[in-house]
Amino acid sequence: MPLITPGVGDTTYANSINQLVNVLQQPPGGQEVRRYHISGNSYAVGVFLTTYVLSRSRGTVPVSATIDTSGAALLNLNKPVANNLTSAGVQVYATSTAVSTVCIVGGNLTYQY
Amino acid sequence: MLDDYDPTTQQLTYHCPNPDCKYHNCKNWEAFRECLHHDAVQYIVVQADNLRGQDAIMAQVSRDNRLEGSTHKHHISHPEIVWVDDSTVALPVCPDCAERGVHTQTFLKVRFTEQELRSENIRIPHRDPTNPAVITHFTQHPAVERHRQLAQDLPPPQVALPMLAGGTLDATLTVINPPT
Repeated sequence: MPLITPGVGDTTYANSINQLVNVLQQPPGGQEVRRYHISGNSYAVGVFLTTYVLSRSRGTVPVSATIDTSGAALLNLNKPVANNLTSAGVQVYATSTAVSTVCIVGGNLTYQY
Repeated sequence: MLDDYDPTTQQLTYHCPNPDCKYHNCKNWEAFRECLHHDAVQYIVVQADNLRGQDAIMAQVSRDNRLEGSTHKHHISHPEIVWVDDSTVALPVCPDCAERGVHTQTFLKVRFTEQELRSENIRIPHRDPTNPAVITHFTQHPAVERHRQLAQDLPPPQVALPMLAGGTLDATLTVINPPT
């Protein structure tokens, strides 16, 4: 959802300021979409590839996170897992299904606050 | 997040955040939840008659474009409802997204520290309508209790995975090529 730019000389309402506050500090029910991408090589089956996705919101804790593979379909990896949800972000990892020089997955990560 | 969890029947319901999914259903979300994909900014002209000066244009969030969809309903015994670490539970993969070749899965935070329970989005202030500067009381984010109850009803996590941030090492280590 776009943010509103108040014009010069406009009366500034609380809503104008809170739209920014709600990005930096997500309210209950807020959402934040980030991207993640994991790639690497695997010397054995079950090798662990991981990344950490920081949230933009500060001082808030996501109650859940949803990940998809819309950016890069699973290649030589098991389905990705998001875990350890904290105020800083979330860890995303996947384990390899084969010995390969190319293991890839990526997509959206949606935080729910 | 869970839209509902009934401890009696142990049924849980939730929706998919992907806008193209038939399980998106943001039209029927709880009132406090926003939809990044379908909520839109709407401009309203306030006539000068209602103001002291000239016409004013105000912006507000419109929910008119929200979509109606289906709801994921599962029993707690579903094989894909599993612990992924000691504070996170995975929900089943969305079948509609999977049909389109996208693997979508939601993970719930089910355990919260005391500090996390005091976070700005978890402890919700309620203000006096006649004097919005006054906070009358606080309530807790509704998903917290649902997620906690789900965690309580699930069998406890059996394996703590090593290498995960915040996790603990609980595995038998085998020494390969021990020094002679």
